[in-house]
Amino acid sequence: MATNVQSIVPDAASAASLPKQPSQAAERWRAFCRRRAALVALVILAAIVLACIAAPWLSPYDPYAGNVKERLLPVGSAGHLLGTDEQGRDLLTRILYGGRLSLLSGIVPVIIAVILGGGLGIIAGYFKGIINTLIMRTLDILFSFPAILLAIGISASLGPGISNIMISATIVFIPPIARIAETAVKEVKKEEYIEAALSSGAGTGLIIRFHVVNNIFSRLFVYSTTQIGICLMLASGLSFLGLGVSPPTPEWGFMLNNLKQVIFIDPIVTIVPGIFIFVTSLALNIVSDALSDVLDSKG
Amino acid sequence: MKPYSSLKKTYAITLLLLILCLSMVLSGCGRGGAAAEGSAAKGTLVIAMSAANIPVPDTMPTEGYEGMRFVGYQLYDGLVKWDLTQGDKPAELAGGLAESWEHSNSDPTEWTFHLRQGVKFHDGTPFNADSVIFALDRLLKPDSPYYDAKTAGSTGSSLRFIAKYAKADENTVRIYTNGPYSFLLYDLASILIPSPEAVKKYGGDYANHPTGTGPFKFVSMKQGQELVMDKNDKYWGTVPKLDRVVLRPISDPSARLAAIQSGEVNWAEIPPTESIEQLKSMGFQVLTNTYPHIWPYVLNTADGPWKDKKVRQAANYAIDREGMSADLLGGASIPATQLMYKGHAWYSSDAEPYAYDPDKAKKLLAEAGYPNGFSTTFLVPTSGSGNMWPVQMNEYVQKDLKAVGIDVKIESIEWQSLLTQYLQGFPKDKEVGAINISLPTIAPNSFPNFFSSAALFPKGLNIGGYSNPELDRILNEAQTSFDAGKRDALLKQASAIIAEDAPWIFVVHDLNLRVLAPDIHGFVQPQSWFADLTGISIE
Amino acid sequence: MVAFISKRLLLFIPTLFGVSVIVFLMLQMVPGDPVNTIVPADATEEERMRVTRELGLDKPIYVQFIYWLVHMFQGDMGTSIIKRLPVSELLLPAVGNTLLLAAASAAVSFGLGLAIGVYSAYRPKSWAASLFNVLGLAGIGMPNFWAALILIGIFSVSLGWLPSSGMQSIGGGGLLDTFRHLILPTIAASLTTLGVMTRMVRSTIAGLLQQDFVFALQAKGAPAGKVLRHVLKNGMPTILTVAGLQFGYLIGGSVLVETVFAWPGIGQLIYQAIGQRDFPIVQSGVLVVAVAFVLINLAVDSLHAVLDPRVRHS
Repeated sequence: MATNVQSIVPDAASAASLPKQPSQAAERWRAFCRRRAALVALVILAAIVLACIAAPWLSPYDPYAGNVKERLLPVGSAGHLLGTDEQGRDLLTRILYGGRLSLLSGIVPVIIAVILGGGLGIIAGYFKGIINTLIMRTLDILFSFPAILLAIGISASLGPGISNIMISATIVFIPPIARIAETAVKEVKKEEYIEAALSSGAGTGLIIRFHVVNNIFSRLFVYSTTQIGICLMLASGLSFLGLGVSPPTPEWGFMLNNLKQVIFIDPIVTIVPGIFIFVTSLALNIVSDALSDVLDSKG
Repeated sequence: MKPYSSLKKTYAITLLLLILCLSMVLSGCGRGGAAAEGSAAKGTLVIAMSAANIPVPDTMPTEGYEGMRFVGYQLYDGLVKWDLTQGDKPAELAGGLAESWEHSNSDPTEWTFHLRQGVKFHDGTPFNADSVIFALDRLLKPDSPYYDAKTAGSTGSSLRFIAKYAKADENTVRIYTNGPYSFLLYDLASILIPSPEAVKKYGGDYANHPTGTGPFKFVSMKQGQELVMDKNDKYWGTVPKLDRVVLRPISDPSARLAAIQSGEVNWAEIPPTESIEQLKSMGFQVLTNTYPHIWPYVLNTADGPWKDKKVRQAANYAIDREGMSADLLGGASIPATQLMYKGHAWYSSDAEPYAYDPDKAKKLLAEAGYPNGFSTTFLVPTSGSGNMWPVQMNEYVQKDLKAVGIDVKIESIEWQSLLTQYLQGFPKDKEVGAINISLPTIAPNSFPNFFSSAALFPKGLNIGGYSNPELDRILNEAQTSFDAGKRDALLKQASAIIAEDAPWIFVVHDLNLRVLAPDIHGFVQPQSWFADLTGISIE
Repeated sequence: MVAFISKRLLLFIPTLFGVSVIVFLMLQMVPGDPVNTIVPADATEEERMRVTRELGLDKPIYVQFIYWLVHMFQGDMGTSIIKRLPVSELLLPAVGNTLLLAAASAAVSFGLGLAIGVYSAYRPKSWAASLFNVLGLAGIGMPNFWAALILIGIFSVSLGWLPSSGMQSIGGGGLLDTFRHLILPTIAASLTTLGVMTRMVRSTIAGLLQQDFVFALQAKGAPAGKVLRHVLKNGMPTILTVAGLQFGYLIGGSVLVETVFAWPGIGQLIYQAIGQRDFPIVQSGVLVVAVAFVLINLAVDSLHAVLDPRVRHS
C-alpha cells in the first residue's frame, strides 16, 4: 500500500511516453468512457467527493455532538444509516465531514509535490553537471528510505497534526516526481524542436516555459493521478497511528483507530471508515489506471 | 491452442495442492491450537496487562503502579506489605520482611523494625539488616557506589521523610524520620528490597537479573512480548499455588479482549466495557470492586486560567459524571466528586458534591472573567496503568467542557512518556492546562504527596503548584498524629478543603474491571490497586 | 560486471552518509531537551551542565554528528530511555522478526503473483483474468491496517482459528506455533505486494508472448512448458527487479501491520519509540532499516546486471 510509492516509477516512466498531439481530448474521453469499470469508478469517486463537500446540506447532524446513550448503534439503525460511533455521534455524518480532511490529505501533498518535485526535476534535467548531480543525488537519498518510515519519521519530528502529515507526505512524493520530470526533460531536450528553438536564439527561460513544461505536463499528470490513492492511504495510515488529527476532529484513518476498540463487539461499525478509504483509493487506482492507458500514445 | 491444455492441468493440480495445504494447516491449527493452549495453561497464569511495555523489573518498576502490581510486588517484598486477601474493606498494611515494628515513645522520629529471619533472596543470599541498609543506600545515599539515581527518582515521594537509618543488629533496623511522621509505614510499602549480591554482580544490567524475596522468581523477559516468573517454593509467606506467571503487555483494550476470548491469556485487565455482557454469558469471571483510586485531571494552578479557583470549580461542575459512568463506561466506574468515594473513611460529606450543572459552570466562568471561555491543552495517556479507556473518556470530557466554553485540545501520548512528563512537572516550553493521569489514593500519604506545599514540585508530586496553608496545617497534624481515628478525621477535613479548592478536576473512580477465565480459582478482588496472586489455582 | 558492482558500491557510501545525515537532522528537529529525560527534575544547573557535556551536546552540531556516526558504526547505539537496555540489544531480535514476516510475505506474494500473473497473461480475455485484474487493483488499494483488522475479526474472533497478536503463545510453542502467529500478518502485509506483482508479471509476460521467438517456438511445436520456460527466462530480470524493490518495502513498510498484530518487529519498535519519545531507538532503528533498504536495492541492481547484460553497459 502506502509503502509502494516508488514501485510505480519504472512502470509509469516506461508506459507514459510522449503524447504526440496534445489536442485529442475528445477522442481520449471517448476511449476512457469505453472502459466501463473506469467510468463506474469515476462516478463513485465524484459522488464521494461531492458528498463530502456537501456534508452540511446532506446531514442533519452535528459531526461533533452525539448522544452517548445511543452509542455504537448498528448499521441501518433508524435515523442513523451507518450507525453511531463510540461517543454516540452519527457515523455517516462523521465520515462525510472526515472525508474532507482525508481527501485533502490525499490530494494536496501530490499537488505540492508535483509543483516542487516537477520544478526540481525540470531544473535538474535542463542543466547538466553540478546542479543536476546536487539535486538528483539529494533526492536519491530521500528515495532510499521506505516511504512510510520516512513519513513517520518526519511526522514524529514535526509533532502530530494533519498539516504535518501533509508535509511529510509531500516530502515522500517529491523524489519520484522529480525523477520523472528529469527523465522527461532529458528526452524532450533531444527532440528536434528544442534544438531548433535553441539555434533560433530563444532565451533559456522561454524554452523551458514553452516546450519543456508543456511536453512533460501530461506525463506528470498521469503519474501523479496514480499517486493520489497511494497518498490517501499513506496519510490515513499515519492518522491511524495517531500522528494526525486530535479528537474530536473526524478523519477516516483516525476514526478507524478509535473504532477498532469495538471490533470484537460490532465489527461492522468498526469496518465502515475503512471501507471509505478502500473504495476511494480503489476507485482512484482504477481511474488513474485507465487514464494512463488512454493518455499513453499507444492507446 | 493445444499446448496450453497441459499447462492448464499443471495449474489445476498446483491450485488443488495449495488449497489442500492451506486447509490442512488451518484445520490443524484449529485443533492443535486449542489443545496446546489448554495444556500450556495448566498452572500457568497469563496476564494481559494494559501497559504497552514490559515493566522494567527494578525495585520501582516502570509503567506506573501496574508495574508495581504485577512485577514489583511479585518479585520483591518491602519491610511492610499490603494485605490483599480481603475484598470487603480497603486493604491495610501487614508485616513483610519486617515481622514487627515499634514506634518509640520517647523519640517520635525513631522506628525499630524486627526483621523476619531465615528469609533468602532468590539467588540464595540471606536477607538481613545489611540488605535493608543496602537497599536504602541505593536510593538515599548519592555517594554510595550502588546509588541508582533513576530508581531513586521514581521512588521519590516515598523517600522524602526518611532522615537516617541504621543497623541495630543482624535482624534489627532503625529508621529515623525528619520530624514526627506517622505515614512512614505506607512509604516503606513502596520501598522494595533487592538482593545486594545481585545488584553488585550485575550493576547496570541488574534490570535483566532482578532478584528479590517475593512469591515469584524472575525467569526471563522478552521485550515487547512477555515477562515470565516462576513460583518461589521457599517463599516465607503463602507459597503460590501457581507454577508460573506470564505477563503480556497489550495496550489495546480490544486486543486484550481478543486474547482472553481466544484463550491466549487467562487474565485480562480492563477489556472494552462493551464486552462485559458478552464475556459474562461466555462464562468468564468479570470482576469489579471499589478501591481508592481516582481518574482526574491534575490542573496547572501555577498560571493561566486554572490559577483561578472559580475556573477550576466551573470545570468540575461542567462534567456529566453519571453519564460517563453509566452510558459511556457501562457501569465500570462511579462518579468522583472529591478525592475519595462515598463510604470511605476519608470521604467528606461536608463538601458539596460537584453535580452536573453547566449553567453554574458558565456563571462561575463569567465571574472569573471568562464569559466566552478560553482554550487550553490537556496532556492525556493513550493507555496504561489505571487510566481505564483514556481516549474515549477524554473525548467525552472535551465535549462537556466545550459546552461551557472551555475549548480543550487533547494531546495524547504513550503512557510511560506521560508518566515521565508528569514526574518532570508541567512543560515549560508550552501551555498545558492539565495532565490526565490516574492516581491511587490507597494510603494516607497520598494527601500530602499530591497536595501539600511541602510536596510542591520539584520536591514532590504536587506538580500543579497548588498550595493552601490551612490544608498544610491539617495534613501536618494528620501526619504527626499516631492515632488512626484522629488521622482519619483530619484526612476527612482535608478532603473537604481539596474538593472546595478543586486543584484537580475529579472525574470518576475506577472499579478495577478485570476478566478471569472460568477455570481460575481462589482470587480475591481486593479493595486495592494491587493484587495477591498466591491464592490462585487453575482447575 | 565487477566494475559495475564496485561502481555501485562506491555510490553506496555517499548514499549511506546522506541517509545518516537525514536521520540525524530529523531528530534534531524534535522539540525538547534530551537532557531533561536524564537528569532528575530538581537537578542543579551544574548537574545539567555535566550531563550536557557527557552527551556531547555542548559541541557544535557537526561535531555531534560525527560523534554519533562513529558510535553508530562501532555498534554502540546508545541506551533506550524507556526500556533502559542497550538499543542494539533491542534492535537485533526486532530486525529478525521483521525479516521473518517480510520473507513470508514475499514468498506468498511472489509465488502467487507469478502464478496469477502468468495465467492472466496467457488468458487475458478469460473471466478469471478480469477478476484477478480487479483483485490486483483492490490489493493495491487496500489499506493494510484495515485488512489486518478484518482478518482478526474473521479468523481470530469469529472462527477462533488463529491468534490475533504476538509471535508466540505462552510457553514457547515451537515452530508450528510461530507459524500460526505468522499467517494473518503475512496475508495483511502481502496484499499490496501481491497486487503489484500480479499486474507487473502479467504485463511483462503479455509483452513477451507477442514476441517473435515465442511464435517461432510454437511453430516448431515446442511444448507449452518449454515456451513458458523461455518466456520466464526473458522476463526474469524485470520481475526480479520489481520483486527486490517490493521486498525492501515489505521490510520498511510493515509498521502498520506490525502495530495491529503486535508483531515484535522493527517497525513496531520504532513506532512505539516515537510515541514514547525514546529517540535513541528511533534514530538507530530508522538508520538500520534505511541501510537494509539501500543494501537490498544494491543487491537488486547487481542481480539485474548479472541477468541482463545490457544494464551493465548503459
